[in-house]
Amino acid sequence: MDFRLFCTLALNGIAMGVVYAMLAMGLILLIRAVGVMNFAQGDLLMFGAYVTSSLILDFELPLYLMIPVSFICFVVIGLVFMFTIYWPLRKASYPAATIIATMGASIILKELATLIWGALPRSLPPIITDANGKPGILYIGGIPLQWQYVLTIIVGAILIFLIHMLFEKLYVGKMMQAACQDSYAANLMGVPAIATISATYIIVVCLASVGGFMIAPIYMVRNTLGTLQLRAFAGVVIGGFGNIKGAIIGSLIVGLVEVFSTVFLSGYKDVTVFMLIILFLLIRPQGLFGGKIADKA
Amino acid sequence: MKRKFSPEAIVLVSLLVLFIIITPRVLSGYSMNVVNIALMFAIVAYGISVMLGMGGQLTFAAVSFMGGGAYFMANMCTDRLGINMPTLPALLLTPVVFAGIAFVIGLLLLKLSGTYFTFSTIALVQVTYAFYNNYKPLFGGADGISGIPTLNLFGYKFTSYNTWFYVLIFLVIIVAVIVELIRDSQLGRSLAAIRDNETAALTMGINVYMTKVIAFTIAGALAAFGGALWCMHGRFVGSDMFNYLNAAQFIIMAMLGGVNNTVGIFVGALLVKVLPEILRSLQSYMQLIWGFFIILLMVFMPTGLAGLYEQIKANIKHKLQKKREGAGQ
Amino acid sequence: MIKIHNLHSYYGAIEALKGIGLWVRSGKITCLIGSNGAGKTTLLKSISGAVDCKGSIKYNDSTELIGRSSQKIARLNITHVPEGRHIFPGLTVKENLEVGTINWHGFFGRMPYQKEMEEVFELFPRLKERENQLGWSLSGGEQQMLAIGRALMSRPRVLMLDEPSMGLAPVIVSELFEKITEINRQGTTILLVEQNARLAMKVSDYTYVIDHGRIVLEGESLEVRKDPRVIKSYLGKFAKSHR
Repeated sequence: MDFRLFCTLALNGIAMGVVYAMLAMGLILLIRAVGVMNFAQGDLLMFGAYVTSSLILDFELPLYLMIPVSFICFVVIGLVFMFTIYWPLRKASYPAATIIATMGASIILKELATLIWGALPRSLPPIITDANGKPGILYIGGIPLQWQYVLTIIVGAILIFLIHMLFEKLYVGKMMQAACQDSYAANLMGVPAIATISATYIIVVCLASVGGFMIAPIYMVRNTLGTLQLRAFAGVVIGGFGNIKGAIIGSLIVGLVEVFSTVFLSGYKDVTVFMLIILFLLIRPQGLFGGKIADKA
Repeated sequence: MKRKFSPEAIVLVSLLVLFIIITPRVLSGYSMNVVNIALMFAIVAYGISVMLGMGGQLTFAAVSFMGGGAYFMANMCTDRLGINMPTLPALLLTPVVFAGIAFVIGLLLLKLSGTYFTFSTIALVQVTYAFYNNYKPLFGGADGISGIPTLNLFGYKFTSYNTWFYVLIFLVIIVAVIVELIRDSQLGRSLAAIRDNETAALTMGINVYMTKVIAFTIAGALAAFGGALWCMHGRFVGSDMFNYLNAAQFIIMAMLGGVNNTVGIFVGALLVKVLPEILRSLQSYMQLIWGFFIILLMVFMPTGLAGLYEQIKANIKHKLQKKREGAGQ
Repeated sequence: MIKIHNLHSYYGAIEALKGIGLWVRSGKITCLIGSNGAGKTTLLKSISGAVDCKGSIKYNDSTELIGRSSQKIARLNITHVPEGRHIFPGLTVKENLEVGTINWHGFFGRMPYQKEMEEVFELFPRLKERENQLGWSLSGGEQQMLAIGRALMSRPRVLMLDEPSMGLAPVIVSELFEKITEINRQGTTILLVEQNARLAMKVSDYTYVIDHGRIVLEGESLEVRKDPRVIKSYLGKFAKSHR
């Protein structure tokens, strides 16, 4: 393949990888908080895409207004999600019960989206367009790069970096980690567990929703966007369960593999990605960077 | 043994008999179709209950094997590959073939435990779905395979849904009995030990790995069997049925009635298929309510309807006992 | 410092504590001994707000603790080190200690806790050696030290220790109890719950014996140690007098 094609595909793959990474990061934060996988993660992305695109298309908010308003929406969604799924089930004796409850949430999110915004896919124009309304293109060294992909990478990377900093460097972040690792002890010490866990959920919703917003112009806003979570699962497995850095790298790998295998194997790109998971699970289940903390799953 | 003759059992059996007698008389056509599908799904759900209810292992693989069974029948019994097997032997062959396939896949996937294993089953579903949806020669691609002959039992063709009902209910009862027998067998007890505490089970000398593999094999064979029946009943097989979302539906079906309760699975399967039909008027809100229902179910009744029933029974017993004690004073 | 009157504590419908009266004297080490399931941990949980209870738990003769949330109680500088250590496995030693300050530290900003951390490291030099190691990688004894150190970071006025000796080798246990004595000497009131009755009575000033949810004996540790009932039930083969 020629160099131009390669670059386009690579850009595409990395952009998707960044979105998967945002989903994956959220997954891991929730595993630490709740101990189980969130099977509604992709649907949070989907719902976020609908909310943000609706604010732009239906309410015609300019970007600088849309951002704070959608943030408020994400806070609400995060709180509702936490209080309906996590809170009642935090002492669940049957761990599968929480997983299945998230499956229920997945269905609710899908149906809610269809009820509110209809069953037809909606198209959202890219953030940067040229004079004719077509997707804006950035030229580097003569190679065309779609602006939407570039922006996705930039926005995603910044968000991931900021949240990583929050958890690793700030005092508040450590309180949140503590509340997630042992809420009983954290409570005894005076950490307001409900507040910190709510904050975690809100962050996860933001991550997923921003990802949804960034890829909406590419994929169109539709209620099947939720299936993207399976790629995020793959990223988590490849990177090593529970390890955020690993999940990010794993997700990038998944994004690239997916995009490049579309060239050769069109309908079977799922096969490559998932064979990759199975391969990893069998040969190196701890992933590329897996550590011991992971095993809460 | 006492179970078989308790008042409960008698009530259940009577209800079952009533169900068998009344249903074909009141229903036909579309509604019968729905009930039949529920019965076939129940067979698949029984397979899931062996893995999840008895063994505590969450698996999505059921739809992969269901598809396998369905496409196997489709290819064996039509002219596509030049094989024109009569339906009965093909039907009986299906669980055998897929037990073998499930065994091999199980050997591979069950090297993983817990959520890693669950993931691998999701990956399996995605892979099989991709093939079912794309590989035309064997699976007919997105269009599927049609014109599958219906079940032919020594010359008697099951052409109406009502006649199918009798076959299916008979098969469901047999599968249910088999599952109950497994539950009380050494295999069932080993699975229960694994479910409750895998490490402890290991130390007790249980071969955890092989036990899980056997459970996986049984689940796979049952799922394939259900799939084979399904394709003969509907005379058609298409890839839509075998995706990740339906896999989730099956699991919910199993959990609804009580994943570890034989009667519960039967009731759960019926409810999941029949309820949406009854509530058709609420169609657009149907799925939404369904989603809420699942969450409520997990919060309040993770042991399913059967668990609720047991709780109510225990409550009543407790109250009766207190009354007796009070009176004795 | 903490006076408990007629405390009844419940786990759902089960009454675990049936009318407990206890006084944690200021500046002293008070210990609570009893067999498994007698209610020792329940008592600590009642004080720290983790269990439903009725009755009265008065702090400094003025503040009623029953009905307050665990977080509010922690903010009164009453710190509970739970059974089984419960350190944060995914945080480093240093981070674990930092989290201990939450009850007096604001959410943001950098209030100084260097002084407290230095004191903890002086008391437990082994923690200093491992300051950047993750919690899960520490040995049982080190985790117990970390749990106590973390509690010390909270500037406790009352320190409640639940079975600190559990699961630890005797050598580590004696070292630990020396530190506990040292902490008390520096002015912290301690309520010690222990299975190891001999050691508990050795370091403490006052002893309460609990059985089936009731206090069956109390007094100065020196006296209680000599009580033949205590010797028979709790001191076993370490008793000097026998039969």
